[in-house]
Amino acid sequence: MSLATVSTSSSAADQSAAGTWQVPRFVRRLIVPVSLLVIWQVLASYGIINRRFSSSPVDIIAALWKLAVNGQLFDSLWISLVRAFLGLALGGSLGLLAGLVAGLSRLGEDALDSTIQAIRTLPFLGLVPLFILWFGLGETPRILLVALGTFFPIYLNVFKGIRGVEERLIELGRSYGLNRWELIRDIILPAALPNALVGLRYSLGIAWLVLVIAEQINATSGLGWLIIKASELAQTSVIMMVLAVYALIGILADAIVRLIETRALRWQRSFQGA
Amino acid sequence: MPNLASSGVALRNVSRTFGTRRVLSDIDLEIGEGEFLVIVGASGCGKSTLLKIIAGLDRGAEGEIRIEENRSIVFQDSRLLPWKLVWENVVLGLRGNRAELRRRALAALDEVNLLARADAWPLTLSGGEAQRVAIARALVRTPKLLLLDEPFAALDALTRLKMQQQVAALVEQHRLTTLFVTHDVDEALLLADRILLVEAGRIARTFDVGLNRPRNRADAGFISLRRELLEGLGVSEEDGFAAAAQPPKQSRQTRPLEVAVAAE
Repeated sequence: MSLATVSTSSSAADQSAAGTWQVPRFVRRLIVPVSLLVIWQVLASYGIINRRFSSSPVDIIAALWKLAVNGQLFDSLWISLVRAFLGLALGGSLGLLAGLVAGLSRLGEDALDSTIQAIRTLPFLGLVPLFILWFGLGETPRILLVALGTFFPIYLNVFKGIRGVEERLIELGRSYGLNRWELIRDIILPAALPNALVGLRYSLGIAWLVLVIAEQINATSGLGWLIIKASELAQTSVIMMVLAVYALIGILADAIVRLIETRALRWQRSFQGA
Repeated sequence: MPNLASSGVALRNVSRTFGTRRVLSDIDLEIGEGEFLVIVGASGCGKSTLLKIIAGLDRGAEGEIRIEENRSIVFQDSRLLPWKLVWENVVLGLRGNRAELRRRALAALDEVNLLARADAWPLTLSGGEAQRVAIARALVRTPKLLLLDEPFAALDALTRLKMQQQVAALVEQHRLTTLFVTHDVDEALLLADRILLVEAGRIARTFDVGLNRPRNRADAGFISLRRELLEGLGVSEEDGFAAAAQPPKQSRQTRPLEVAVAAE
């Protein structure tokens, strides 16, 4: 027992001391997903699983290639990104504005908060038929739907961030002669920024999610439309390819916000994880 | 007596109640120009409330209150804004050209020997460094009145000793009228021209500290004043209970008044 312990620990020490070749971490992390893809491909190639239902990695890459070459993929991706951006810009800035008004003044909170909380409880995707009724079949209902979805996370987090500012820092500002505007600019807004950025991250995810739904309704362009068209033609590989593109864009968007966070919050020395 | 006409602080018959609880009653207090006044008392005696009133942070008191407008305060926690660089914290609330503000901040940081950390983020400072930045922030606006609310209570004993010397030197150099609140009797004796002992919301006793500076803890006058002060606070150094509650050296250096509370 004790011998075994000694021998394993000494061999581990030998390995690191001699600089033995070790599998890099990113390779270790790739092992499981790559194996799954290989198994999937093998099962599909031997007809063990039905390619009509589940496609296969090779088919998906072929679909990606085909749509990339004929330009459909990038046209759709572009129009989806524009919709997401416009919706997020509208919903995000209104959410920021409402969060500031409600956060900074009691009167603003009384005027806005209960109404916003009430609307928030509506499952907003259920509003799709109404939005089409109200705003027609053009771009407007889609962008407004994204705006509605992205409004709440930003509003809630900005409000919470402002209300979470420590009283002792406000007291400091007052005793050092800051006027109301300086108090907001130098203390309240920077203190609320981490929360606001969390709201932005949620909003980005939601914007993308809303688009999947909004573009499948009566659209003639965008990634969601690509899925609908593929499903009519039973092109499983195209559907899966578009889903992969959605995921990829989602990861990219999140990375961008994280980059903004590390830049804007570089003063933080918070727990980095163990 | 200090020159009351030019004094920065005058309170007459000041009281403060929170609901039905009377925290301060009938406080008469004047600080002479250039005087270093220390308020000593046990936790909960009302000394911090008194400082808040003088700092203008508590406007709910009754009585006649006249306080110098040109004042700055150092809190127990340094209260640096973590999103501003050290030098930006120093000039918080000051208006003017950025280069000029930076120059002033650097000069103030130099006075507390922290020039090297001017461009650091506050969260990377130690407790003592952060408190020195807070002192630089108070001094940079050349106040007539400096208020300190237990500024060294959260620091370790060694850092506290250094900070006490530094504050004594700075106050002397700038000829500041200073009001210092503490529960540390030794700290009070090292710094004060006059000590007010606050007990249950009243000024119980006044001690004029006529000792030469820099002060020496081993000095006979220091020791006898210290005993008097502790007795005023209800702590006897020969008190077996207090000695048992905490090792004597420890209690002498850190929080003697809390031993008193525990003993009661």
